[in-house]
Amino acid sequence: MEYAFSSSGDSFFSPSSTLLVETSILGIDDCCGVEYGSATAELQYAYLSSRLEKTYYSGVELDDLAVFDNLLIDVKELYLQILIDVFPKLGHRLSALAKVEDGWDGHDANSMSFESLGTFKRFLLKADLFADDIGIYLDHNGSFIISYTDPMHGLVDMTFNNQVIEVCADELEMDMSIADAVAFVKTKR
Amino acid sequence: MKFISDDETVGRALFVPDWDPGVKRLTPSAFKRCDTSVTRLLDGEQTLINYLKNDVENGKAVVQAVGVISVSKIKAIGLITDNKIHFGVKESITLKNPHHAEIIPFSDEQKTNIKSSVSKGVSRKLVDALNLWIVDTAGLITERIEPKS
Repeated sequence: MEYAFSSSGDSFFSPSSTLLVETSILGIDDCCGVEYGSATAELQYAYLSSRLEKTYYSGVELDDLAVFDNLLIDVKELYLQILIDVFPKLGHRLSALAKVEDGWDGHDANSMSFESLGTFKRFLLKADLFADDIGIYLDHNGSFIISYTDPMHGLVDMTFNNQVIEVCADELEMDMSIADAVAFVKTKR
Repeated sequence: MKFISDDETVGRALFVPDWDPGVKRLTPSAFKRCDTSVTRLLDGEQTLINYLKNDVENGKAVVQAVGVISVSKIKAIGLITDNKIHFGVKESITLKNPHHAEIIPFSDEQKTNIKSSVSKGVSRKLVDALNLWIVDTAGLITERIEPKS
């Protein structure tokens, strides 16, 4: 059974496949190396499944984008909590970024992007806290940006898009996979 | 379009999520837009800060720092890259802020074609050229950080 149930409004997939798509975007499949993250992800998966089933069986219109958006907000908060629990040093900053709403700097400035959060989460769980001065920001698309001081490249910034990380320094500008970006920050430590 | 003079100085309000107070740095993408809001430094530092606070603060956002740069510096940075950007700082008065202006990137010297965005590299250079004023919740400057370049 399929439903129109997408934030873009033009995709068709079942509630269960929705979960698979979204959890993949958010990085659950890469959490296995982190016991707490994995456990939390599984709990969250079950939680979301139950919410969706409840929504479906109670007869609520599943193509109601507000329902879907609310589910995504729940996921965002819990996934941020995973990062905060693993990296308490970043907790205050991540909480502040989570509160940023659409229109924070003009009408076209977006709040935190799910796709970017997924890429950022996957990266950070593998890279760990690789520098003492990591600054974290959101750009106008809602994408995560970090900046830190690298001994070889000086101030480096990374923009986290869907599965791709833009790495930029004074003499460097390139797109990297999550694995390459992790290797980059660990090598230059 | 009325451009302000090269010898003027403008300030950009910095707050979450553009500013990270933990490391006292702003996002390298702060100047990527084609209409970056700034306020002219015409009546002293405190007046500038007050206008920025009045523009930005709405019960959620709080101005935590101000990035200050001259118009001539903005223009010079746009011209040192391979794909030159001809910046202009356009007067853009609002009801709340008579000193409001916008940094506009043009692809031509005659300033007829507005670029849709500014490259990350140029935005980084503008960020590095800022004088930073850290401000408290009352808007008083508590620290000044010199530009990196």
